[in-house]
Amino acid sequence: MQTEPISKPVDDVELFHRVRSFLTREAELIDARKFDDWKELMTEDLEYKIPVRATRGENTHEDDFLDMHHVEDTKYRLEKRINRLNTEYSWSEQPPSRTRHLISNVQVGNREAEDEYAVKSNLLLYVSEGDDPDHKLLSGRRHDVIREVNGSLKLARRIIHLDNTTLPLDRISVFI
Amino acid sequence: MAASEQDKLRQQASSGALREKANEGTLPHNIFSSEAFFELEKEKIFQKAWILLGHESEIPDPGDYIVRYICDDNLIVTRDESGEIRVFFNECKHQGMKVCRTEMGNTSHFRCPYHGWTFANSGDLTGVPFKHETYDDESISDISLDEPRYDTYNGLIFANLDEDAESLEEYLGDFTFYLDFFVGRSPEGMEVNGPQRRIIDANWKLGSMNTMSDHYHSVTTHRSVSDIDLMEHDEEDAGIAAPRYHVQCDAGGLMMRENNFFKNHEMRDSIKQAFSEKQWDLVSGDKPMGGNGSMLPNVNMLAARVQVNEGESAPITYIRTYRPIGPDKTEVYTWHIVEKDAPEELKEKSRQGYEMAFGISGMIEQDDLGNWSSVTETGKGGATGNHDVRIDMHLNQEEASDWDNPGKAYKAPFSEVNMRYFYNWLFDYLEA
Repeated sequence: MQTEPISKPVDDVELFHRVRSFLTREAELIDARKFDDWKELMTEDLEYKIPVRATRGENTHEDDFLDMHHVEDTKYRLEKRINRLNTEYSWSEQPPSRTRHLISNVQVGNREAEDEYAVKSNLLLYVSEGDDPDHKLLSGRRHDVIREVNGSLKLARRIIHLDNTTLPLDRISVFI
Repeated sequence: MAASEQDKLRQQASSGALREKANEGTLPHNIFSSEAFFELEKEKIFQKAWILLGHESEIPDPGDYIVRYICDDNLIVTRDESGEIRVFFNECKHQGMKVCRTEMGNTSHFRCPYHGWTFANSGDLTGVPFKHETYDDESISDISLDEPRYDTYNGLIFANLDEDAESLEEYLGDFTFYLDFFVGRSPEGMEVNGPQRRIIDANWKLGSMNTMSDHYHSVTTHRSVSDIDLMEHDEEDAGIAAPRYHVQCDAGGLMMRENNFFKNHEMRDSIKQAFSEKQWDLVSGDKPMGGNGSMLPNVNMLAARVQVNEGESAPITYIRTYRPIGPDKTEVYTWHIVEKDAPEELKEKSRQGYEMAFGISGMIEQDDLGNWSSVTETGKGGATGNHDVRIDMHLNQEEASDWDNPGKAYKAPFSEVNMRYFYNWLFDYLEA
């Protein structure tokens, strides 16, 4: 299954460094609100999903997800969101949230396909809004597929497993 | 707000003074933030009215259960071994601990982690550790989890904490005529995905008012949606200021206008089978209607078509409910609902369209939340809490003469008439 832990991370320092740089660059573009540039790091067949987690049984943990998503984007849908943020009327992000994506525990797995790598990472997302001294915090595990496209890396798939079931947010208006 | 102010508000709510004020077109702003008013609502509305807990399709098989709330009361909704839906308070009959600490699952028994009392999913106590060393047989022979009253309508599961309340059927009245447009669109029944759950810093009433009455906010709040063409538009679409019927009918209100939801619906033939002739007439023919609304006190519904992929739209419907936690704190549950007999591909596109436009990340819904939390916050002000907010748009409008369907209707592009209906309904409970 695509969200299972990586059993044997690749032992390739150069590849690991490229992937790590890619993830850092990508997070930085979101936090700098350069969404149009960020979008360019995605493949055309992008899947970007945040399934809804539920506390379903006494003994289950990793697979407690419903047939529902907080976000289930394709490139088209992601572009719609970015276009919306570029209008004058995206009230949920006016004034803009300040986000800080902290990406850690990166592991690069074996090739999924000829030109693709399975990449896992942990996410801690800090969100500050307006003059509110309180912050919003989300944590989760990211299951990515990163693809080689003409010598560059691009994100082809991302499934984010947030640790909350009931979200401590009134809305998701930032990119997670 | 000072305690005396809160008492005053509570007294005005009970005496009919606030109803009179609402009918003249204003509300005290602190109606959205007062602790005392909130306590009154919890006691007089949420312990007396029929409250939505979930949908039958969430628990299709024997043993399936979901755990839900009415304010602070925690309830287990389960399908017992005989296939019957049952609702229990999630409270051990020994010393009151929760017997279930998950959100959903499948089990034949609930075992309290405290002392091990075990209850079957019929509610009956079936196990007591050291039974013979602890209690007289007689004192624990006929014990089961307490049950509130519960009933279902077209798959929706409701409970009522008042033993003396009217039946669900009487409560809903003729609103079912309209409710079916959202939850009764297939002879095979409907199914839900979800819920998405989240906590918002807003008073619970604002969402209900908004969805049953407030089209006016769409012009500004949801302007970005038209700028990016999120929704499917018909060539005949008369635009955002097209006249609509603001309908009031027993336990609910909605806004209906000519639109493309039923006209372009992929499941039209099957939907027709599920509706009465009169229902079908309203959503077919020359001017097919569609819309959005609220069932009182706290359930919102909307049906629309979303551009889910490039050049491709899908019909979407949501059900949303509010669990009041405090005057300024509310848990929101949202479900996507779809016809059971729809092809899998359509169900998936419909769910994706819902996720794009509504729910926690929806490009429409995310712009609503800031409004509701801001109105709640300004209601806390020592000065602004005592100001009035307006609900007086089209205050003395005549009823529409051409509405030949259950309830009353008022015709205008924008109106606050359904907000006044919402508050009259609310004060029926608060004054009782």
